[in-house]
Amino acid sequence: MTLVFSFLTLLMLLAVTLVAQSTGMVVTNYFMLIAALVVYVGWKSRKSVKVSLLKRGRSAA
Amino acid sequence: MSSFLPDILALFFLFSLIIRRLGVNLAFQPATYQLLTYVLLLTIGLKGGQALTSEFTFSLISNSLIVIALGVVLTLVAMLIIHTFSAMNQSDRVTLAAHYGSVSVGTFAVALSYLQLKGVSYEAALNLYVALLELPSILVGLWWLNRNQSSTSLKTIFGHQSLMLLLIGLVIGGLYGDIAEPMVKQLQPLFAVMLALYLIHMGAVAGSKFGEFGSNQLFLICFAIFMPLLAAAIGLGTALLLGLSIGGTTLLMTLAASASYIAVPAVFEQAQPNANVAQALVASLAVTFSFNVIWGIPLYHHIAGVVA
Repeated sequence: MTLVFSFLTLLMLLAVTLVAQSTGMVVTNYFMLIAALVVYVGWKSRKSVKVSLLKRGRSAA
Repeated sequence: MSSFLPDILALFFLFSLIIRRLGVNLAFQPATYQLLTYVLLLTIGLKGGQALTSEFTFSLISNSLIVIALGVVLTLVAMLIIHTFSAMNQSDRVTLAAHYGSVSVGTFAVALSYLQLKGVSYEAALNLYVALLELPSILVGLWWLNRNQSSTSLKTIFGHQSLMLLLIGLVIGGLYGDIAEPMVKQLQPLFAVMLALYLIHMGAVAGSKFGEFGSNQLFLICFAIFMPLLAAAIGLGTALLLGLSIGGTTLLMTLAASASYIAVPAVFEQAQPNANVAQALVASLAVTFSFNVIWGIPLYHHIAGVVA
């Protein structure tokens, strides 16, 4: 559920940024935040997938 | 070039945060930090009290009730989100939600200064709303956790410095009106300097807390960004209902989006010793305060300008 929530957060941030951009705001800083968050969420989800695969492997063995 | 940079006040915060991560601590001693907050709170309170006296109408009472309801709604929404997307226990869930239902006077002060720099006016009632929004989440949170137990003492709920200083300022400013003007005029130039120093301190504190998230790190970081955006949208709806100006709408959105890191932790540490106050404090201070100061306030002002 945490991963679903993190994708929701990214989507919300992206939607707000696009709305702000379409109404004339300079949003470079916001895209930088989104990029940083994408990298962080990607890194965290890769880590959690690795852990769950390891657990599955151990229980199968 | 300057259009790509964050607000000038945000840079004080950002540099202090980065420097703290590099190992240099620019945080002040507790007594110095306390003096800074005293000056900020008293200035906000005095100015608010003065303006409230001159602008008092009976609609202020009904508007205040709507603002109190906003505090309750924000706490319940935060509780629902945490309940749906995290595996926290009830005590931690309610504690975190109470932080996000309450407000940060520091964030409010930054938003005030931002509007002053832009030359945007706002309704004086917002200074009263800060004090009003401090309490509902504390009351809802403590009620939720103590439904079957004896009630928490009033001193625990009301007896914290930030609320008292704001109220003292509001009452003195309200009673003395124009007579307090020379004092307010002397405090006004200090306000920006004190705020810059306050942000240097907060940057250092936020920087030192980034490593303290614990096992809920991903959820806490995402929640600390998701919740301000959602709360700002609810604040925008409330501001439209109250008919606030662009400045007033920006401030109410900022208040709704901010999370407490002084009053609520102090109350919950006393009233709920088992609750994980530290993780809520890290989320509200290290992430939400940073987000609001660097990205949030300019965004809320822009959206308020488009909608209001």
